[in-house]
Amino acid sequence: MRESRLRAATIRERAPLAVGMLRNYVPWIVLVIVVVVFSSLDPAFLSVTNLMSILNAATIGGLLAIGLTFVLLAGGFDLSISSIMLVGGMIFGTLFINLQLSVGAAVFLSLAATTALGLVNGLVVTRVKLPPFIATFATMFVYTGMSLAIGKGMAIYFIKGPYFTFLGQGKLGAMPMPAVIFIIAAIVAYLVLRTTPFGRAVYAVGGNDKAAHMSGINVDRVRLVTYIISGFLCGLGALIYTARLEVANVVTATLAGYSTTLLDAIAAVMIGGISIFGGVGKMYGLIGGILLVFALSNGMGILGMTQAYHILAKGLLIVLAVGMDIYFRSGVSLRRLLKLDTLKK
Amino acid sequence: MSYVIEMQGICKDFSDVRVLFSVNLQVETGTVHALVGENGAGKSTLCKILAGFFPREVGEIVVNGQKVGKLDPRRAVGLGISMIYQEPNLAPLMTVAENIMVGQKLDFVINRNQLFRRAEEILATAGFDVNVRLPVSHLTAHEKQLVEIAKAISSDTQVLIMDEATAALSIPEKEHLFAVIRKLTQQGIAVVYVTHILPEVFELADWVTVLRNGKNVGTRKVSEVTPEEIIELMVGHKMSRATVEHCQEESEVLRLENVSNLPEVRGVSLSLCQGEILGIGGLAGSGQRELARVIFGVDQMDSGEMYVSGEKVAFKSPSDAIKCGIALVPRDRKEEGLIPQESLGHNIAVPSLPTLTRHRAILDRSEEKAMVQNQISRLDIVPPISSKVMEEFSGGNQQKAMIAKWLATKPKILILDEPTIGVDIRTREYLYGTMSELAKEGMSLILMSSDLKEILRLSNRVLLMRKGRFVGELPGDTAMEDEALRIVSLDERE
Repeated sequence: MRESRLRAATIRERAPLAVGMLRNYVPWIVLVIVVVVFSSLDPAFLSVTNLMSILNAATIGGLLAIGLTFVLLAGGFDLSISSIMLVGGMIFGTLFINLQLSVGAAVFLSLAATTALGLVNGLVVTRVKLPPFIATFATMFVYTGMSLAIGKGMAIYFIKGPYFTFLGQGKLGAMPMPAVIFIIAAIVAYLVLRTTPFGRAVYAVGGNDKAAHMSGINVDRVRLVTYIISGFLCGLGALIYTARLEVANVVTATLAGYSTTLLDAIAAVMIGGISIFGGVGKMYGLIGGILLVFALSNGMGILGMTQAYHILAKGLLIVLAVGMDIYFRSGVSLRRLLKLDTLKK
Repeated sequence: MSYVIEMQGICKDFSDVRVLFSVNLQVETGTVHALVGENGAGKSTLCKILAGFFPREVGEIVVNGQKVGKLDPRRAVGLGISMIYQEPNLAPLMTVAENIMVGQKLDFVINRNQLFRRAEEILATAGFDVNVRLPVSHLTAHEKQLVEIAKAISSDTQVLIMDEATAALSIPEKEHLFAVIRKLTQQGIAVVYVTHILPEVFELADWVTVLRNGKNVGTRKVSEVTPEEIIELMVGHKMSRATVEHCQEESEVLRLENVSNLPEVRGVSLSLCQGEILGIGGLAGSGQRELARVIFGVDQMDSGEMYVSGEKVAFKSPSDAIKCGIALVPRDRKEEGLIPQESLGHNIAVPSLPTLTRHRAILDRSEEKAMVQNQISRLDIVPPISSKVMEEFSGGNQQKAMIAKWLATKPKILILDEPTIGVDIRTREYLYGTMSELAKEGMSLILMSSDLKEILRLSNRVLLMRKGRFVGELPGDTAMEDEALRIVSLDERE
């Protein structure tokens, strides 16, 4: 009798752990359901060509989502990611076409530029101490304006160059080049978060910045680095985007495209179980979230459903994902949700 | 003699631990009734039960001869019982008038001028001089208190409960507050006055009730009692005197000279020897926490000098202090100690991360695992599952994890700030044992606590702190408790 009660207690002790882990698998479980449903409705969904095209479509949003994940895990937020991408594309176009720089130099400099924009975000958050949500909301406008200024409002660059277009259109075996870059980035991110002191520090800072500070972690530096990582990955996204379309432009249609990219990245992160309150979330959950978002769009497209339903489905998934987040982390206030608190020492 | 409040046989449990044992308290109309006792004696709990914030397990409350059943804060205010907290409970951006009138029935459409006038009337009857049109955030701590009192008066209060009301006040402000309290009693209001400071009892109160370990150990008329008698009641035995033994300073690991971080830390000097447990005691808010933060580099000192093993140091952040072999187990587990959503293992590893790497970049995870397992068994953390999320552990085990996290850094100096707050008795005893062991192994410990019994029992030497200064030194001996209590609670003004 006594023994069985003890055993029951042990099971109960372990149970919340299992439920807590579930958040990382939910996107995968839903993904399996989505794949089964779509492939039974249309076998073409499961063809290698289509799967590759899902992966290909997911790369840019996916790269942005990986960067955003670092920022979120450290307790920040980044709304400016797609705007950094815009600037990156315009800078590349200017350097490569107008200034006739070599591909390598133009790639290097535009990546350096987007990384610097990430650094600026980080400085606004850690030095000026604006709440991350507001800081990057502001820089979103600044960077978008910057890209318009670089392109003088309407300039379009046709980017030609075999090495460069390979980045967006080439293939390594059956695998599209962008997908290769995305997979490499995901693996590196996974290793950094899991096996480096910096990765641990990111979780510590997002989980409890005061405790992290009292444990000897330089909280501001960790946050700063997460924004830098985000800026760099936005640069990669910009290069792939430009190489794929052979054009760097800022016209209304592309602006709309970019904001879709932003929303997709945020949706993927939230559905992927990365807590918007910081400190919680795993890379494999995120990858599930990214694939789910883009598989859903692709599958609904194949079935001839309109954009309206894609957006609707994403919204419902976010409610589910964030609702779970709040459920597992009770006592979270709206202030924290909107990142209105900054570190007070 | 008429009692406005009679509390009889009040019992209260906090998660199976009884904190009040059948307490009786009778408060006479128009008097000041002081409630004194050591930390954890149950003063605040008793007051909060009276104000309806905590339900009581057993016991009766009679207000004006009428038995009252279940109390909640609203009902208590309706019965004329108001409580004023150490931290004012006001809306900072609203005006004084709005704050005073917040509980009042007003017309559907609020006439601002009328509102101001009525608030002014209330303040005038109480003799306060506060501009009712100012936002509360512009007021001093004392003025906020007056607004709180006015708010209570405006709801026809009969009993005003004040908890450590003078903690944040200057001496003239305190005098003014006492004058206000005397005036209130003349109007027939009874005041229950919770305090640590005995001179205030003699200056202000008519009656004094002493609580010890959740029991009422005596109610006396203030005019018929001496401070020594009250201390005896608080401590539970006769006063004794002893000489202070200084420690042998052959192996000094830490020295502070005139360290200040105003206003909390004022010119503190101390010397810590290897293998010593140095206790720093004092009432809550005497500056122990701030002193610990300065030593650990969380806050920087305004002036003074600090030496670790003879070398002068000036820490800019905790990481500097960690490099010098200092560790701080902070008071607040949730806020400053642990990362609630991370696993036990990751929590323990956080401060050791810089030393757990290969090639300065990659974590040595097998070494980390060994270190974590070592600490889990060293401190007997239950359940010993390093992947279990921190917030799912009990309070006692969270406390152990916090200590484990710092022991893993192999510190020379371990500072513990109130290490046994909110910890069950078994864990507490275990931690006491661990601290003694660590000292025997050659670690130097600084133990900060407002629990004088605890500090006298564990320490080789105890420094007593009051208002940011060291005001006495005692040998670590529980027989010194009355002397310690006298030093920290008497002689309010120097």
